[in-house]
Amino acid sequence: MLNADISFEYRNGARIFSHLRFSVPEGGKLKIIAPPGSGKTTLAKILTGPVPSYSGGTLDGTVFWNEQDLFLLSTPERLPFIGRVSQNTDEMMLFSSIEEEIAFPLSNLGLPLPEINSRIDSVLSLFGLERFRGVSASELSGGEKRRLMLAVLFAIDPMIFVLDESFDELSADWRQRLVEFINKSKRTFIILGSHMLEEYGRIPGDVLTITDGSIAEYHEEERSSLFSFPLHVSDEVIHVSNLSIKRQHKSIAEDSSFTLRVPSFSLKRGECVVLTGENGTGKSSFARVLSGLFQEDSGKVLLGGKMLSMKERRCNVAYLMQNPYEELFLPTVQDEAMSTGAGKREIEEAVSLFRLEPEWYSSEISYGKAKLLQAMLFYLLRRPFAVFDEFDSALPYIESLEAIKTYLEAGTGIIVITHDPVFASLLPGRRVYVKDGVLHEY
Amino acid sequence: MNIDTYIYGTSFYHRFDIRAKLLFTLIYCTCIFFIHSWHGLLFSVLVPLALFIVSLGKRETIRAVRKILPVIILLFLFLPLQDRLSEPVLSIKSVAIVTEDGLYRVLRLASRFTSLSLTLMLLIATERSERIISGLRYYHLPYKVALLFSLILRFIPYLGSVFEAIKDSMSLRLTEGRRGIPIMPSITAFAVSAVKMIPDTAAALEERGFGRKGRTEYSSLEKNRKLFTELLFSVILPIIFFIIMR
Amino acid sequence: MSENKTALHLSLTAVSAALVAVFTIAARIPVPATSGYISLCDAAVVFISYAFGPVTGLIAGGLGSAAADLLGGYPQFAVISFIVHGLEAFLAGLLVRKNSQSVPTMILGAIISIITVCGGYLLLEVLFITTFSSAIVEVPMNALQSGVGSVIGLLLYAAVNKAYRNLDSLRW
Repeated sequence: MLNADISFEYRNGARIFSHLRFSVPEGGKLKIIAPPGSGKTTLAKILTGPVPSYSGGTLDGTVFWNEQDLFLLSTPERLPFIGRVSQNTDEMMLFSSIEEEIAFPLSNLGLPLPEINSRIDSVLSLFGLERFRGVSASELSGGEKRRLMLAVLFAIDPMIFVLDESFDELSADWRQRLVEFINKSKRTFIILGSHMLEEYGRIPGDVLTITDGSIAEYHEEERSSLFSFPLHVSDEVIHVSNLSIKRQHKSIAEDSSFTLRVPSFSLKRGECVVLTGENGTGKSSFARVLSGLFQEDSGKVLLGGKMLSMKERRCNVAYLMQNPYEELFLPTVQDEAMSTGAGKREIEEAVSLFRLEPEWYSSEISYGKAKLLQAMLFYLLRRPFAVFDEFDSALPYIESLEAIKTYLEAGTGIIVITHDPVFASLLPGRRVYVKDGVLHEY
Repeated sequence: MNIDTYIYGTSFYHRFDIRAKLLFTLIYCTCIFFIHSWHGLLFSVLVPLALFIVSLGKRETIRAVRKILPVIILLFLFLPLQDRLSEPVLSIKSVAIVTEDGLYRVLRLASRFTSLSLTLMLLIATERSERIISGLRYYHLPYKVALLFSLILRFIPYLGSVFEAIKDSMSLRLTEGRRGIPIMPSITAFAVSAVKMIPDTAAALEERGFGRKGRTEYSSLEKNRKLFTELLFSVILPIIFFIIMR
Repeated sequence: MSENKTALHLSLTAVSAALVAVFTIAARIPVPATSGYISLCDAAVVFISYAFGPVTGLIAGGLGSAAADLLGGYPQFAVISFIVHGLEAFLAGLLVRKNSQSVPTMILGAIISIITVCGGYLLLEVLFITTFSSAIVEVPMNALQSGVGSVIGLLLYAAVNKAYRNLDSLRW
């Protein structure tokens, strides 16, 4: 039985939890669904230890696992009891080789060598990673990294698993398998998410939320689509024909490179197109080609019949990358907004539209808020087209939908890359998907 | 950013055990400094050059030599090839241009530099960095130092990709008509994201159990029955070479 | 902060070293006059020793530039780079203890960097690789690179300090 009663105050005195109480029976699966900024990641870090030891702040309360108060143990000592998969996968990746990544915690546990080797083999096959044994970690795609981090935690096999938005970036197929792994496991799970994924519904257990620093009942958010209005589609169109994109893993000899072919694709201003497909099939690379960050192998990208150079694409197509922190440079939200060259009124309006505060520090805001900031910046830059790469992952449906609606109302033509079928169903417009290396229209 | 120096291959030098390879590299590089004979200077370059061609092929060998060439050219251009006390080898109108001693000095430096460079390049081109670290662990490199090296190896390509991403998104946010990427904001953003990693990484180390007592020694190096023979070769061959070529 | 300082020190050193290496390999400013590039290696070296003190600077500055040489395909220079840039970082870290960003500090810092880098490479290359007359050719470029780098490093420190509020808490 896990029994928690947590109060926590950040170093700057802001109180985030006051008597956050919850309990999970041994082997139970608890889901906590709460909006960004409500402290899910902070909660995960409090449970495993780095908050407050690396963040500062004042922590009060207890977390009992049967008779043991976890707060009395140092972070490394908690390893057999509790472990987490972090939302930002790069944050916890320590080695260049996949084998060493998994072996490190196991050797710290003091397991005998044969046991370490057999666990490595079994989790690699469980998460479909055998063929990446020789690949360096930096060459893995987002979904592959997520699977590696899950594999590490399943290899450690602690009493309590904390999964912080761990379904993000996984393809539908892998999400389904993860649900099966969780349901089969006899361990206790705490699953943190910003919106109720369809997959969460297939895991039996309580659903709670965090409101004003305390635990509350979760009420299903309304899934009504915001898009009852007709889209203002204009004639300005970006058109792609006979495009071919190549990428490869450099460090292994076997041919693991992918090729994506796009026979024909077009996007009008004001239109919304949803793009889906398995992990590592080249969806992001397609976005990079459109936005002028990656050179295609062959083919054409045209705007109004005119060929676009890489530089022209960058000025016409905004790309909201998966990891929002990569697109933030300046100290505060206000500084970032000013850098776009927009007027004062415009900035004020946009800041409130995207639910931000001008004085927030970009390096301190949560993952979800960083995504909204990223969206605000490209909104201010007024690009005619935009690609949203897994924008929905750390946000409640309503917030990501509103951001997309704002873009559409401004007449932007957008592509939304997502793995979540529910989210996709809430969006208007056409559907395209990648299968067997080719982009198809439904 | 492609910074991996490892080049995939199945040659005998690729398969040569890393522990033996490290020993060979060390002893051979030490020997180079004590070789004085003319034929020694020649052969100390030919040995790694031959190994290079055999294990990595002609193209990679040419690439490696190209990297060394500028230094060699500088040596010949700026080193006085004449030395008053020795016999002239080449003279124009009784003015000695090249003398034996002068030529010898230049050739010795060039040979030493080339063979040293080739041998080291050969090591990092035929072996993954993680394995080199594991090999050093075998020679009792302290655990924490090895861990530090591994972390650095992981972070260089990672930070490289962060830097690329920052440059990319900088270019996405540029207003039309402006050229180039502003340097100060790019490197500041980059340094901030690096600094942010520090507490996160420290936390990750601890969450993975770093600092617990009773750690198992894990090595990704496989048991190698021929290891003793290979180690023996790594010691004997360079020493024989040294005795002949001295 | 945590009782287990080793994890923090390891992480601090590793990230700093990687920062130096990436600056050396990837961050370059074009020099129109020579149509070549100068690398920002010294800016990173100086930055980490201002931010994290001379000891971190010594280890991370040295390891980072050595790693850049190894990965860049110039393993023969790794040891020399380790000594030279380690020393440069150590001296820079001793020079600037607190937020001192005055013009004299900048000039002094730049002079120290120029002397260490030029002198260091010259001395060590002469001892182990080439001879005086061929090593001296590199001096002007090294001087330019380390002088510019040192000033950029100090500016970078100020800028990062503004954007990341807890920078000083990582120092040891």
